[in-house]
Amino acid sequence: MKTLPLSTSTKDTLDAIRPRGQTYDQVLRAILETRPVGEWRELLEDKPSRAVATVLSNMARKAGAPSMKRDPSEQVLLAESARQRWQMWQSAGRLEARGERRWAYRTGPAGGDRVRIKRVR
Amino acid sequence: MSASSAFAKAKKAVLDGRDLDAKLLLAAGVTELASSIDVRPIVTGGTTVDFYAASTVDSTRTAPPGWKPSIDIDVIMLASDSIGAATRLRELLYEKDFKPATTRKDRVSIQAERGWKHPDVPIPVEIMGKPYEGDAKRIVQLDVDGMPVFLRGPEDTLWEHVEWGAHVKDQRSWTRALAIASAQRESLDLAYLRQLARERGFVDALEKCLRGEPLY
Repeated sequence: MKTLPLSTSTKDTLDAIRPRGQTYDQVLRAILETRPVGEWRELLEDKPSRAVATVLSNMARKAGAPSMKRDPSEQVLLAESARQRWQMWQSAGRLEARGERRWAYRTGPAGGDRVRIKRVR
Repeated sequence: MSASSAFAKAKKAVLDGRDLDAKLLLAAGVTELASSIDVRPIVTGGTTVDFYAASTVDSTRTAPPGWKPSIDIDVIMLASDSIGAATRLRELLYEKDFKPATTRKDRVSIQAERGWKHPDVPIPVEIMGKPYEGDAKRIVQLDVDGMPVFLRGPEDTLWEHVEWGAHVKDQRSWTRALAIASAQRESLDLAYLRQLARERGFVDALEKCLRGEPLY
């Protein structure tokens, strides 16, 4: 059985659920074997580390799960939106430079997101 | 503003759907509490991405289906004894009525419990007991409604996602990298980033990111 490459943060994450005596590889493969492909999204939403998500996502794609890719053109548009919004924050007075590596940020309704944060289980 | 005021404002921000405001206010309150025990937490992870990318990639509104936006705050300690500082902060949060964020039956001790939640704010704070990764001189101080929050620098935040995105072909990381590079274009220390890229072997990936190109 090929060993999966895992980062330190992934191992820290898996330590929280890894039964005594089991390797990280065994834990991940047990997760894969016990969950239907359709449950990948739910599992990944529970993931506490990006590395676990990436490894499981790659394995899920190999097992035939739908891709979670983002459209490349959308990436570029999003990046431009980020730039515009950063500039807007400053022009609107939400964000103000206060010297080298120091900013002042004003919270408030203007320009904020309008979606509720999901409660963490 | 006091820590309790910051937490109250964070609670309201959650109710208003202002994700980033809520996380920054919560971080401000925790930072204020930590100052009483001479500990300085540094915010890393998705919250820094959310800030440097101006809330365009990590809000619940903009995440694509299947992606879970950053819903917690990762903090690490800038100290030679990062584990000890993390332990002391966890103990302090417990004293201040924070609750463990996990509900698993085999919960670890207070000192080892990483995730904590304020009773009124449904956002976990992950207190990680590991050394700071990056250049400590590039940490940014963000005064959130007048209260300081310390963020991992934009260069180190960007680099983490360039390297990971290119290394494992991870679209989510690459999206984050592009957004940060775009929003922070004028202030990034490119010489530092290019030095990192040479040392780590991702020169082409960095330049691709700085040009604003998709991963593939």
